Amino acid sequence: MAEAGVRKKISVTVNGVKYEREVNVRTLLSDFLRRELGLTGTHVGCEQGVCGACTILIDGQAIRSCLTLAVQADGRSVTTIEGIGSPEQLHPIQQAFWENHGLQCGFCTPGFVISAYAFLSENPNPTDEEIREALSGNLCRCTGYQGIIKSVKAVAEKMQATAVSNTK
Amino acid sequence: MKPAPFEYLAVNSVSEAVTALQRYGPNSRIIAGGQSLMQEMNLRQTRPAFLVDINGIKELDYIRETANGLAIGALTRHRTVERSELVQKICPLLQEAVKHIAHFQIRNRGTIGGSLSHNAPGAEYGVVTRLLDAEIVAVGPDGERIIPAEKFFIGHFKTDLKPAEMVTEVRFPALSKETGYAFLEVTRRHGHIPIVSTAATLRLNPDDTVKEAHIALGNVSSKGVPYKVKAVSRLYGQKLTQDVLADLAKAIEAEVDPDPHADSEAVFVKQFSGITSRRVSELSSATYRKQVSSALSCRALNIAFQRIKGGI
Ligand SMILES: Cc1cc2nc3c(=O)[nH]c(=O)nc-3n(C[C@H](O)[C@H](O)[C@H](O)COP(=O)(O)OP(=O)(O)OC[C@H]3O[C@@H](n4cnc5c(N)ncnc54)[C@H](O)[C@@H]3O)c2cc1C
Ligand code: FES
Ligand code: FES
Repeated sequence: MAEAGVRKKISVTVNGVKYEREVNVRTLLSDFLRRELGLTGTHVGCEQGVCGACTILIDGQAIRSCLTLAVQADGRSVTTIEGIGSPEQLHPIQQAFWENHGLQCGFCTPGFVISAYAFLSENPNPTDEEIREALSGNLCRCTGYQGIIKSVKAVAEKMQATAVSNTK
Repeated sequence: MKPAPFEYLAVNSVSEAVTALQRYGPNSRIIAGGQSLMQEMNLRQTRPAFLVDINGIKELDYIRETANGLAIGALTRHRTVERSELVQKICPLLQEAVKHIAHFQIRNRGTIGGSLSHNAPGAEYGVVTRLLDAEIVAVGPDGERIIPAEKFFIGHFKTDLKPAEMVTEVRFPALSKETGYAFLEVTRRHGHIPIVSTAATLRLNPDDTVKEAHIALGNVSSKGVPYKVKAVSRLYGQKLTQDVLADLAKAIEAEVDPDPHADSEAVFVKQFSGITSRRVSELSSATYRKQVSSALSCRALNIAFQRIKGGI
């Protein structure tokens, strides 16, 4: 059995790029992404799992990066908001947030977009109730949520329409 | 905030984990899903000197059918239980309960072993474990032992686990087809630790009188353990009429014992780090929780009854 230590080498794929770094074991994954890799799209609100701003995908599953250690991402594949879309080419979820007033200050938005992404890839045809349940783990101080729910509904409907026209 | 410094070791087997816990002593802690531990460490409420990461013990992530129910590995995520067809078939109450735990992002990481070992007041898994008299399998330096739920939970955030012991499996009995069940809770916000949680099972005689009924409640015991209601025994042989339920409600209010002092030290302070604001204390007052206990218990029995009758 290996010895416990305070630093560890990790190899992690973020948005398709492989990074090898030595990290302090107490570094949170959120801080690793922001400080070590400069991917500041992942926001940090509460650092206690409550606000959802730091939500990312790890091997395709949405999790809180503030409740995960960077060492725990060793050998895994991480997707952050930067891997979902770019200013030149917004992801349909981002486009829908823009069109439906799904954001104001934008602090919570990366977390909402990632959560919606994970949710819609598992449940592409959700009910309103399911959308609300899925977004209940993300807090927004600005919008009052209606625009966010509308955005997610709009993408789901668009995706359904495309899926139907593709099968025609 | 960020966690205080610690040393970290990832292990790949139960024996490695136990050896590590022994080697690093009382200042070492297991990290499973990290959904409670990292929260506490970020808030500097806990400062373990060593973390033993058990996420690599893949053989502890399973749900199996057994001769009389289900065996669930300690590292099984809440999300896996939520979606398991086996759980739906054999112990649907557990599935109903797990949907109330946090949000899907938390359920993707949090584990059943972690939830039980943490023993937060009101935690859904603890209530169901106690209701069904589930068994907790623990492995330590002296080998394996099986702990009945009644003995496992011993106080607020305390369990019967010895320092170098870890949970490896939880065993739930199957619910028979004739058993009605329900899980209900009251929370400040959906997905947060409940103010009161309730689980119930019910079986009827052919004439609709009660053959067997059980109710367990979370966050209403001054001892800080999931609480199994004694007053339900008065239902046996009776029909669930309004009068009978009203009588039960009174008895439950008299029986449960939410200790206001223990509460102020427990879940709310844990979550909000020293803030005992008026709003929190009002919502969680002992009187309020007594009332919620009886209301939720009666409602749960009604739902269980309707389930038996095919109404749900
Ligand atoms: C925003 C938020 C909301 C939440 N809401 C709820 C809720 O509504 N209901 C609820 O029940 N929980 C809730 N939780 C907590 C969540 O369910 C946790 O997943 C769970 O309590 C702990 O499981 P874990 O695997 O994450 O354990 P960890 O956080 O890794 O560990 C918790 C404790 O258990 C010990 N431990 C872990 N695994 C073992 C083992 N196999 N053997 C021995 N000791 C072990 C650790 O050393 C630690 O002391 C919430 C968490 C967050 C962040
Ligand atoms: S910063 Fe991670 S949930 Fe708030
Ligand atoms: S847009 Fe400002 S917090 Fe959500």
